[in-house]
Amino acid sequence: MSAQLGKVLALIISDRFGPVVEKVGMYLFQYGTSPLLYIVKNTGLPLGKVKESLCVLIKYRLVFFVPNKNENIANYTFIADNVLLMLRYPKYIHLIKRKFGDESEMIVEEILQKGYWTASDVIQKVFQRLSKNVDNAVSFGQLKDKFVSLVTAKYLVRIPYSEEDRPVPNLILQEGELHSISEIDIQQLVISAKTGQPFCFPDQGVYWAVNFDRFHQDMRDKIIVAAFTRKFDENAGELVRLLLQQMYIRTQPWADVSNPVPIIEIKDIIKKQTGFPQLNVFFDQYVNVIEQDSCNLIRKSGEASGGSFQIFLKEAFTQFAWEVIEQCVLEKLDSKAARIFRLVKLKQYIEPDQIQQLAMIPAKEAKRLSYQLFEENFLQIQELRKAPVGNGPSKSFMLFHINLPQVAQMILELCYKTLFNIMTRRSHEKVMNKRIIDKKQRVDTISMGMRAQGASEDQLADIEEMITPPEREILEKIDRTMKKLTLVELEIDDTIFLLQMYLIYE
Amino acid sequence: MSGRGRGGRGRGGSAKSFNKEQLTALGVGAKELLPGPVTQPPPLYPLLNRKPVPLNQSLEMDYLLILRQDFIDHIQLSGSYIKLPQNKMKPEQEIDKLVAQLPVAKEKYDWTLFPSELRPKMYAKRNKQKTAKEVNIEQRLTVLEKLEEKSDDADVAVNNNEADEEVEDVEEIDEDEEMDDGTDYANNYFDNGEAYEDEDDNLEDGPIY
Repeated sequence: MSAQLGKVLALIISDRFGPVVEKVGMYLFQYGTSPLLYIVKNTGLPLGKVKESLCVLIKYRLVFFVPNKNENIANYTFIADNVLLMLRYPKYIHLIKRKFGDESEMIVEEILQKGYWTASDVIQKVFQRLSKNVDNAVSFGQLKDKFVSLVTAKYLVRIPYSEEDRPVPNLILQEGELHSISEIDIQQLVISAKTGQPFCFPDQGVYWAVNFDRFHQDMRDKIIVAAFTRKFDENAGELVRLLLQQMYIRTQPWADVSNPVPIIEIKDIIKKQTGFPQLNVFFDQYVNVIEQDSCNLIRKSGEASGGSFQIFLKEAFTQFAWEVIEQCVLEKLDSKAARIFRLVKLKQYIEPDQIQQLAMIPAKEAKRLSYQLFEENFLQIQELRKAPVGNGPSKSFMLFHINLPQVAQMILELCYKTLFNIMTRRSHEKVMNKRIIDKKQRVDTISMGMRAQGASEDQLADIEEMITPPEREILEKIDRTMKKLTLVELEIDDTIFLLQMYLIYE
Repeated sequence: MSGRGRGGRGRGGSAKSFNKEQLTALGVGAKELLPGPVTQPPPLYPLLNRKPVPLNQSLEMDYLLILRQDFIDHIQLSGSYIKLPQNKMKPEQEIDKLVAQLPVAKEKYDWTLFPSELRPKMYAKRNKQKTAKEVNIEQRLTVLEKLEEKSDDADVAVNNNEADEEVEDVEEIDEDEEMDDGTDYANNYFDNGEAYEDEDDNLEDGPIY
C-alpha cells in the first residue's frame, strides 16, 4: 500500500464512478476501516451521497463491511486490490470469449457491469441482446447451459448472503453452495420474454459474481505456456500446457509444487491428438529440454512407470520475475548495466573490484554503472566490518547484492507510477480538447437522429461538414494519442500481473 | 555529529562532501574536475536518455480497447456514476445542458445484502411509523373508552361517532404527510410536457384557492 498506488486507485474510481465515489473510496483507503458517520464527517459530503457511494462500492465488491461493536452500525473496509483489477476486466471478458464463445462472453460482461446478478436476469438480458441480430438466434436452454458450464468451471461464484434479518447483515455462504447452481426455470423465462412483463423468478436473491482467482489461474497458465512457446517452439508450449492440465487433476491450483504427474499420461494424450506430429516423434527430447531449462519448471520425482515429474510453479515465476527485472535494467540503463546486474545475480554477493574484473568493462564505467544501479535501487549494499586489529584502521568490505522481492516491489511501484502518469496525461488531453470533442459528439448525435428520421445523403453530408478539415485532423490526432495511452495501460497491467504472481508465490 | 569528525575534516573545513581518499575509492581520479555546484532546479521534464520500445498493436489489443471503453461508458451512464447536486449556475456548454437533462437513473439494490444504515431515508421511516401507529391506536382506544363512559344519550353517541371519524381522518392525513416528508426519492418530477395543455383546462374551471 503506497501513496502512489492510492493515486492510481483514485483515478481508476473517478474514471468510472465519478468524483463523489472517489472521495469516499480514498477516505477509506487512507484511514482504513471506518464507520459511516466518520466518513460523512471527514469528507464533508452530504449523508445521502455518502450512502449512495458506499452502496456502489459494495456492489462492485470494492468495499466490504463487518458489524461494529454496536451491532446497528457497520465498519467499512476498502479492498484496494479489487480496484486495480478493474483495469483487467477487458482481459477477463476476452479470455472467456476465446474459451467459451460469444454467448458466455456476454454473460460475463453483463455480470461484470452489474457487479453481481441473478442467473435468470442475466440470461434474460443476454437473450434480449442476442435477439437483436436475427441471424444467430439462441434459445434460453442454450444460454442456461452456457451459464451452468461457467459456474461448474468456477468462473462464476455465488456471493454470500444473509439469512437472519439484522441491521448489519452477516453475509455467509454454506460450504458447497459456492459453485452449486440453483434452479433456473426456462419456461418462466420464455413467458416473460413473450409478454414482456417482469417476473418473480425462483432464483431471486441468488446472486452470482465473477471469480477473479479462476481467471488469474488461466492467465498464469497462459504466461507459462507463452514463455515456453517463445523460448523453444509451439510443441514445447503444447507439452507444458498438457502438463499443467494434468496437474490440476491431482493438485490444488495455487500450490507451490505439484504432486508428481506421470509422463506416460501426457504421452497418451499426445498420441491421440493429431495437431502436433513433431511432438509425438520427439517427445522424450522435448521433455529433456524442458527439464534442463533454466526455468526449473519440471523436475523428475520418480522413475516408476516411465518417470513422473513435479511442476514447480513458484520457481518458474521467480525466474520470470528475474527476466522482467533484467529487461527493465536493459531498457533503462542499457546492456552494460544489464551485464553487471546479471553478474551480481550470478555471484550473489560481489565486491566492486570484482565487478570491474569480471564484467570486462573499463573500471570507471563499471563503477559508474554499478552506482547508478544502486541509486535506482536495483542493487543493494551489504557492509561487512572487520574488527580492527590492535590500533590499526578498521576495515570494511562493501558487497553488492540483489534482494529480489524488494526489487520486484520497486518495479511494481514504478508500474503504478507509470499508470498514474498515463491516466493523468489522458485526462489532461481530454480537458484540453473538451470543446472539439464535445462538438464532434454533438454532430454525431445530430447525424444519427437525422439518419433515424430518414434524411437524404446530401443533408447528412452537410451535417458532417460542420467539422472542418483542420478540426478533423486534430480529432484524429487526439484519437491516436488516446489509443496509445490506453494500450500502455493494458500492457502495464500485464507486467503488474506477473510481478504480483511472483510476490504471491514468494 | 560524530561521523563528521571521523572523516578527517575539521569543522567548517572543505565545502565538498567527500575528501580525496574517499573520492579515489569511488573511482574519481585526482586530475578530474568535480561537477560544479548545482544552482538550478532540475528541469520539470528532463530529456529521455532512451526511446521506449514501440508498442505492438494487434487486433486483439484493439478489441480489448473497445471492451474497456464499453465498460466505462456503461457504468458512467448507469446509476453508479454519482454526481453532486448541481449548483444553480447554468451550465455553459451546450453539451453539459443536454447531459443535465438526462434522467437520473437510481440503482436498485437488494437491501438484504447491505447494512440498513445505508438505505435511503424512505425505507427507514416506514419501519418507524409502524410502531408509532400502534401507539396511536392504543391512545385512541382509551379515548374512545372515556367517551363511551361519558355518553349516556343516544344522540350524544351519534355525535361522538362523528367526532371519532373526524379524529380518524385527521390521523390519516397526518400519516400521509409524515410519509412524504423527508425525501423525494420515490417521486418522479420528470415532466414530459404532456400535462402542459391540461393546465389550461383547469384554469377554465375557475381560479384555485
